[in-house]
Amino acid sequence: MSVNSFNASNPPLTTKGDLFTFSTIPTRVGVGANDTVLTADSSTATGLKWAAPAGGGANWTLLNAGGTALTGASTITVSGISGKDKIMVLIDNASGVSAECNVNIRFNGDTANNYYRYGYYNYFGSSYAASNFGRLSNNSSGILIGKTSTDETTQVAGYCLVTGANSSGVKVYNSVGQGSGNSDHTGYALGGYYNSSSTISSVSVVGTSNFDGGTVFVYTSA
Amino acid sequence: MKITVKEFNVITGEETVIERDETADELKARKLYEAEYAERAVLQAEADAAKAAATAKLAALGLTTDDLKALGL
Repeated sequence: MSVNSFNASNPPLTTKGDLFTFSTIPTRVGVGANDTVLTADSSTATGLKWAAPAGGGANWTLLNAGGTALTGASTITVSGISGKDKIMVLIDNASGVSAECNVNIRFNGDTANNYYRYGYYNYFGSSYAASNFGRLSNNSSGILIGKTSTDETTQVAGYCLVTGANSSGVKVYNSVGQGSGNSDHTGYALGGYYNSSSTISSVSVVGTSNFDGGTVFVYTSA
Repeated sequence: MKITVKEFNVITGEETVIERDETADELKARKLYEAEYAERAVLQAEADAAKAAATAKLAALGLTTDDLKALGL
């Protein structure tokens, strides 16, 4: 019997789990290994293959062991990121040498207004004013995390989670942060996207003055 | 304005520090922040002055902010 004589009533199946498929002729595809899934692949004869399923959940690891100290510069960059779809940036108690240090996050050293943001800010003033609270719906040169007060010893804590970092599409993020102090500190709760087709290879924490304290932790997941 | 940039490469483990001029985008962003803070400081000063004036009026009436709170105001 030639292989071309196989048909629906006489399939080329021999083994449990076999699939009756077609290349240019009726073709058997044997069952895959346990826990693999059938996946389209135009490079194979049948257009099919068995492969490990793409991860449905994140598998986070700390990229910069122990964190990177926020001292001695106004821009602290963690570079060498590669092949990661999700990036979580945690900012632990960042402080600036000057009062009212505004803390931002940037990707790939991009200082253009490519960071689109939608959310709100809370400004903690010494007394109430309507302008203490407001919305942000525009683009900026970084992702705002928080601002310290007029007291130079105060700090900012917050995070930014970005997904799609390893894609050619826009990168969606959400971020939350808050400065501390008696007054004149600011917090932000934002979501938005980083409008760039480049994959993210570096993350920078940027202050409006040099940092003199704090740590940035960069977690990634494929 | 000079900016100090510190970079930590997670692949090589190298840390480099450079000092450079701020870019036009960075200058623009810094000016925006400064303008925002200046505007907010003016508004805050106005709010503080209004609060002080209202507190003085209350005191002239023999009242305090605790009296207003007691009234649910």
